[in-house]
Amino acid sequence: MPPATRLTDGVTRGEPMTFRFEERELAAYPGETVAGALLAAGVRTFRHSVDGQPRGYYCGMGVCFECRVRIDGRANQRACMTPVQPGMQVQAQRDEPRRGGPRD
Amino acid sequence: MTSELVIVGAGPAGMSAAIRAAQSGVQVTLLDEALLPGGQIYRQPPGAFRVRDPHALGADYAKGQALIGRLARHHPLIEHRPDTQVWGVFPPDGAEQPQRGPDAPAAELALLGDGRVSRLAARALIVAPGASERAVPFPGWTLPGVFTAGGVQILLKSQRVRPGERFLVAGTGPLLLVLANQLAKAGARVQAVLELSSLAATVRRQWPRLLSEPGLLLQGLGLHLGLRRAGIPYLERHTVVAARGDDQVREAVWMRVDADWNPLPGSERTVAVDAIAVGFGFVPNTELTRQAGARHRYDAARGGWVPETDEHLATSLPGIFAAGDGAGVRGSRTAELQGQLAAVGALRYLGRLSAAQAETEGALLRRRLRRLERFASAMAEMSLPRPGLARLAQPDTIVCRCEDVTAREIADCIGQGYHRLDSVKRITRAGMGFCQGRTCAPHIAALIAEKEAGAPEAAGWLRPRPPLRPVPLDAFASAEDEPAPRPPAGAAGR
Repeated sequence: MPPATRLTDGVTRGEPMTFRFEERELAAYPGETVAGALLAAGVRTFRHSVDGQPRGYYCGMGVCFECRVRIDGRANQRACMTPVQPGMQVQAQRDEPRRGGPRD
Repeated sequence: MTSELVIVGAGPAGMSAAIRAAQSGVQVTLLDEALLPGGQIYRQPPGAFRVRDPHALGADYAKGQALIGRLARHHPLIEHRPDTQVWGVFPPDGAEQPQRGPDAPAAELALLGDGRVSRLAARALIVAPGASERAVPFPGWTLPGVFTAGGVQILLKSQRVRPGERFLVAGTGPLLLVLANQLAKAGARVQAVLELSSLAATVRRQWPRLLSEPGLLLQGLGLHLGLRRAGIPYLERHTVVAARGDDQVREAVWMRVDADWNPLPGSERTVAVDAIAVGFGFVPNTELTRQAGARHRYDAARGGWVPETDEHLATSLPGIFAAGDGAGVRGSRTAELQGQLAAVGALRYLGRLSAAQAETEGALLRRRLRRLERFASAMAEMSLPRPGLARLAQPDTIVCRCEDVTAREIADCIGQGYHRLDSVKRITRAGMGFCQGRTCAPHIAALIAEKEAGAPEAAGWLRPRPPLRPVPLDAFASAEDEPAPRPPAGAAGR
């Protein structure tokens, strides 16, 4: 687990809450994005790509879509753009594998 | 619904444009994808965080607060719509060409906000969408723990989260120095900062321009001193060539490079890290101006394709203006002045300023912009992509992260004679995924250019089609009472 951490200087956070990532219950603070809360908890892999490779937070500004997760059953939500809510159910996504040729 | 002036993007360019337009009494609709104004450079901590010590958040926090404060003071005239995505720009009423003149809308925008699709007509439009980081594929770059420098900055500045402990910072440009200082302050161990270019060589070539901004030179010196104090090595003509790990990054490999940024064999060095931050410069976000049909030109020193603009930043389309990094990467100070200049242009177009007033104010802004341009162009020259950059990817390296298309597949396709981005996309699927080629297209264009011994513009661009961002079908179902823009064929189908 990488020693990621929340910085405590400069800001005061509100009352902590919990949300779920896969089978784990994780802490988060109001205003945090799903990506921020996951990374602070040491979670790096947010989804698996079409070829099954682990992927996670990359651009952080909603451009690359690498951090997309399933939130409360809704697929393809960008973790970097979505504020975390109490009781949220977040799941890692696994993209449909590529089948040889174009999938049209 | 019709708005007199719509501005897309609430970064430094969009905010200063909104403020300037409101000063002339114009109602402004300011659309932004984020929850809070500021853009990426002035990204603020979320509203639920209480800022106890502004100094801990750095200089950008204070500058952003000043601009956001001015925006708030003009609030009655500025309707700021956060969390709103623009997924299409259409000629009004489906006409092929926008009608000329300020009484007809310059464009109609398709929006997604609050889970619903809506439309908004703009009598004048200022596009200020900013820039994205240039993605440079190298072995292992898709491993979790390899982040963009900007992505790490957002976590530090806004979320106050440090996403790792032992970092390598690599790429080119002053952002690397800023980030390494921020990381050190946040208690991270930065193994090294690797700069592809040589500052000494840049100073030799560009010293008269660099001397035009003694303040910025001092800032740069301060950043270097900060690294020295923190014991962080700053290595010029070096870059990261591989990230290694199982399910996340554990090691980084770096090498020396020559003046063309080609790695020098035998110079490999491996370090243990748990995070790599890469920043290879920026590419303007031009989907909106391209989709609208504005003329563009290729300007490598400004990051790639940029809309052609006149002295008031008007594009080739009547009533549509472009400002900030989205009109050519030059940084936040230039963006702020360009926002004002575009607002002056839009006010004149709308008949809210006389031609003479607009000319006087425009001339003043242009003079200040020219002064900034001297320093900014010298820095841009230092970070201008050189041929070695596109060669970091090995045959097995993923180039298109959305569809897992490798460098080998792309090279084979180009080798078969496909020399346009659109063709490579159709054959390989690179650029067909969720990001719509925003990440991989500049790299593929560079590969085509290398193969063809041509310039990257020869590869053309991926034609931006609506929806520019994924729009869920139920957002059409719950569209506002006005008829929603027709979903184009295959809208959200995947």
